[in-house]
Amino acid sequence: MDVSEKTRDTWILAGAMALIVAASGFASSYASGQAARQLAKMTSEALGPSPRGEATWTTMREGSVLGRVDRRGEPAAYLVVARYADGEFRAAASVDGDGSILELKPLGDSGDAYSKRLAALFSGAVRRGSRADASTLDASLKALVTDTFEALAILERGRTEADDGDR
Amino acid sequence: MVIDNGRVSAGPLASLAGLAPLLVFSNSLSQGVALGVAFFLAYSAAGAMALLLPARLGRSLVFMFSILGAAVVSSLTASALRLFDPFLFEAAYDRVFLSVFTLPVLRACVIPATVSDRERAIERLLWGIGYSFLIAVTGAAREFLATGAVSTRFGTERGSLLPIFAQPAGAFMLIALAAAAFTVVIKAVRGSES
Repeated sequence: MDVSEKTRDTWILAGAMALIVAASGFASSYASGQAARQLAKMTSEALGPSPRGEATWTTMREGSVLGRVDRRGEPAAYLVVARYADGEFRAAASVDGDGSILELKPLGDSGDAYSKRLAALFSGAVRRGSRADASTLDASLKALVTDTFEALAILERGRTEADDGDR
Repeated sequence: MVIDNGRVSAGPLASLAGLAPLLVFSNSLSQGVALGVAFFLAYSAAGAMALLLPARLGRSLVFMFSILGAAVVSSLTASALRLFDPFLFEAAYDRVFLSVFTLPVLRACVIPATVSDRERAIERLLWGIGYSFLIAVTGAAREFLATGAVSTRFGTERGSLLPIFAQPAGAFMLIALAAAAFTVVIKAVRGSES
């Protein structure tokens, strides 16, 4: 076997693979941008369109919080995807600078009992004063709601502190 | 083939066992189809590269380039999935890359040792289609058993029938039932031959 021929083939293949990997990186970047635009639009529309129209998406993947939409002059909006046994509950949440939830709108309706109960628990927690009726599903879902609210508060406080630090 | 002169060949069945990680994560039709397509593309890319790369590169380099090709194809599949349904991507993107490390894909990365092995490319492709179909069907079956319905859209499950089938335990139960059924069929085939 000709060793130089093998070395040449290896380098050609390595070069071709490097080009393909770079192309797949560009494809991944493009897909990420398109998905960000789609998710930002979905979240903004659920909470009412921003008067200034600009919305920037940041992917977070912190617990049930998928990402944040920054809208100029308005409270930050977060996209919540809370996963349970055989499905997921999606909602858009508007969060104040101190980490309190101002508004939470479910996105779509998966129709199953867990999703409906999660919608009731999230709405009850946002309204605070009102007491939602009890359900046998609460024991397994309440921790999910509490964790999500804690994550939202921590993320938003962290963001506002970072913004204050920049000024 | 699985049955050869009345004997059960372990190769394809071992590959089937190697699919267990994907079968465990395939708990709905949409996830099953996504994982099935991702598996098939990675499997085909690995097999095609192992077949087409010059043998003079040696087994190690062919294996390395083939698995790299399968990983790149998985990345492209994940990008396509992200464009198609960002929520399905968030639920399945880490599992899509798992397909590269399954036994059938790793086997496909190995350069065919003989000319007759090279000529069995079509057979291997058909096995790949079969495996992908199995992943999708497992997802649909588990979704049906867990919720009593099958939905073509991710995140729109309905009702609750046997929720355990949405859990990993449900996948193992289904695999055990399929293995038991397969054993019965093999015994019946052997019985009819003797």
